Amino acid sequence: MKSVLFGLMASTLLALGTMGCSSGGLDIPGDGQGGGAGGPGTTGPGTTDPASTPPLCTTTGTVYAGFGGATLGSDRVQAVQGADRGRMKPFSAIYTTAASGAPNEFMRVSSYTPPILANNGATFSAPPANWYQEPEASAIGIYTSYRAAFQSCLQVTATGAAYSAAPTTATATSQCTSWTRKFWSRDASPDELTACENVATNDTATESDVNKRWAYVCASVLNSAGFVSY
Amino acid sequence: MKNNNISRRGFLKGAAAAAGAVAGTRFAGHNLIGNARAATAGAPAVLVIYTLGGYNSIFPSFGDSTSLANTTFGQSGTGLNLGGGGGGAMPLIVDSTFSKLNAFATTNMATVGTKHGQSAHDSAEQATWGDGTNNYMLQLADAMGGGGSIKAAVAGGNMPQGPAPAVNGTTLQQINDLQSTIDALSGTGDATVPDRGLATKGITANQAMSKNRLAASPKGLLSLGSGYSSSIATLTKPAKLYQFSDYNTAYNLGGKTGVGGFASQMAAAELMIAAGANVVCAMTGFNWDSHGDTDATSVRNQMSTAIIPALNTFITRNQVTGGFNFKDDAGNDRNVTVIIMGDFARSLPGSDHQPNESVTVFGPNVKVGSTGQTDNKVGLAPSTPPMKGLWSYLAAASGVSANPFGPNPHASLLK
Repeated sequence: MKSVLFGLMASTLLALGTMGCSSGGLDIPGDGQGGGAGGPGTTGPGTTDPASTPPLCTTTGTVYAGFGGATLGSDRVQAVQGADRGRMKPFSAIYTTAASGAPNEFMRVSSYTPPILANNGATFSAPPANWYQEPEASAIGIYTSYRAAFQSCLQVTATGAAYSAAPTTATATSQCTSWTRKFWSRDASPDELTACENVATNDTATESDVNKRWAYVCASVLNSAGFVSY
Repeated sequence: MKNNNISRRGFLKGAAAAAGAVAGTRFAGHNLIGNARAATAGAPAVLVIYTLGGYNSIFPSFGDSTSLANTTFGQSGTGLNLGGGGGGAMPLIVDSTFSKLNAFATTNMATVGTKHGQSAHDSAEQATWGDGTNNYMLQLADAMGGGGSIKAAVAGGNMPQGPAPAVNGTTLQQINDLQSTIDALSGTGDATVPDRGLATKGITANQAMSKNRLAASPKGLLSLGSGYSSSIATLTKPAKLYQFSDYNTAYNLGGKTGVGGFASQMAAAELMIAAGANVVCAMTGFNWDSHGDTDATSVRNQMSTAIIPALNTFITRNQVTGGFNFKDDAGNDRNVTVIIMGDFARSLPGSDHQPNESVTVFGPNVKVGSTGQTDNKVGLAPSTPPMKGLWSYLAAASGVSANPFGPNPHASLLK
C-alpha cells in the first residue's frame, strides 16, 4: 500500500512537471514516418533549419523552485519533443477475457482473441491488478506474440476468396497494403511493403496449405512494431 | 502475492511512463565466435542471486573475536567454520544458517569482499551491475562465449538497474514464463503453432518491417529491437526438448508456469543454463532492506525459508554429480558458479546501509576462504577491491581467458 501511494504521488508530480513543459500542439513523429524518419528539424543532409528545430523543455518550460530553493526538474532528462515516443503495448491492451466484454487489439483487427494469450500474462510481464509496470519486450515474448498473431491470422485467412489461391505478386501487394493499413493504422512505406510481399511470394513458398500460407503473411505484419507498440 | 515482481523503483518507472580459469580456457567470445568452449571443459555458467535491499554480512562473514562482536546481529556461539584461506585469503566462517545448504555449497564456498562506496539503494544497485556505461553482466556473458542464443537472462520481472547496452549482440532477456520459454526453445505444439523455419522467417520480416519505428524510438523500443534479434537467434538454433513437468516437480511449482517466486526463478535459471545461457540473474523482491532487524532474525528466516530450499534444488540438479542438468550438451560436467549478493551489507547498530559488501560465491572452481571478512563495524580492509574485482573473479572462475574486467584481485579464492 505504501508503494502504491508513493507511486500515485510520483505520478501526480510527474504529470504536473509535464504541464510545466507544455508548449501547445505537437507534431509527433512517433512511428518513424514522415518527420520522424529523417529526424526532426532537418532540411537535408548536413543542414539544420534553426527555425524548425523543436524546442526542449528548458526553452519553453516554466522553472519552479522546490523546497530549499532547489530547481525542480534540474535533473530532468532533456529530449526533443516528440522523439523516442514508441512504447510496447501492455498486455491489458492485447488481451482481455470474453467475460469482461472489454475490447482488445487483436479483436479490433481480426475479431478474434488468440487463445494462447489466456495463460501468458507472465510472459508479457502483466502486472497484478491496480499496479503498473512498463512493458518490456523479450525474445520469448516476441515468439509468443508471433504465435498469437499466427493464431489470429489463421482465423482471418480461414475463409474468403482472397485466400483461396497462393499469393502472387499482385495479390501479395494488395493484401500487404490492406493489412499494414489495418493493423498499423497507417500506410506502409515501400520497404515495409516489400518485406511483407517477400514473405508472401518467397519465404512461405514451401507451405502447401494456401490459407495457412496467407496466415504467415498476415502474422508478419501483425507482429511488427506497428502493431505491438504504440 | 506477485507484487514481489514489482519493485518500488519499477513502479516509479511505470508511473513516469504513465505520465509521460581454471576449469579450462575460454576465449574472449561473442556471437562471431560460435562454440569457443575448450573441449575438455564443461560449459560454464554464472547464477547471480540478488537480494534486493541488502545482504547482511552475517551470512558471508560471521563474526568471531576478530570481527563482528559476538552479540551483534544475534550472533552467539560459533558460526559455521569452513576453514580454508591462505595466499592472502582468510579462513571462512559463515552464519550457521548456511549449514542448511547442500554440502557442495559449503565445501566450495568463498566470501568475496567488494567496495562500491554507495549507501543508497539505487546507486548501490547500479554500481553493482555496471560502471554507468557498461553492464558487467553483459560483459561477462559475452566474454564467456559459447553458442547460446540467449547468453544473459533475467529470471523474473525485476530487471537490474542501470544501463545495459548490448555487448557484441549480447543483450539481457527476461524469462517470465517457463512454458512459453520451453515452447520457444522446442517449437512444438498443436496445429496453430507455426512451423519453426517459417516462424523464423516471419519474425525476420517483423524485424524488417519494424526498422523505421525502432529507429525513431531507440530507447523506448530498445527491448523490442533486441528481442527480435534474440528471438530469431533462438529459433535458428536446433530445437531442444524440455518438459515443464521436470521443473514443476523438482521445484514444487504447483503447476504454475509463471516466473514469480524464488523457486520458479531457480527453475528458470536452470532451464536457461540448459539452453546455453552464460549468466542468469534472479532478483528477489525488495524485502531485504532489513532496517531494525538488529538480531537478524528476519533475514535468517528469509534465507532459511525463501532462498535455501529452492537453491538446494538448483545445486543438486546443476552442481552435484548425477544432477539432472549436471552434464552439458557435450557430456562434460558443467561449471556453474553461484553468487549471492545484494545492494550492500547492513550496518551496525540498526541494520541500515553499509557502503560495502561481502558476497557469497560457490562453485567447482571456488576455493574456500575469504577476502571479505568484516571488522566490528561491518567495514572491509582498505585494500578491498571495487565491484569490478568481483566480476573479474567470476570471469576467472568461469575460465574466461581474456578477462574484460582486468586481472582477478581475488586469485587466492580460486582452486
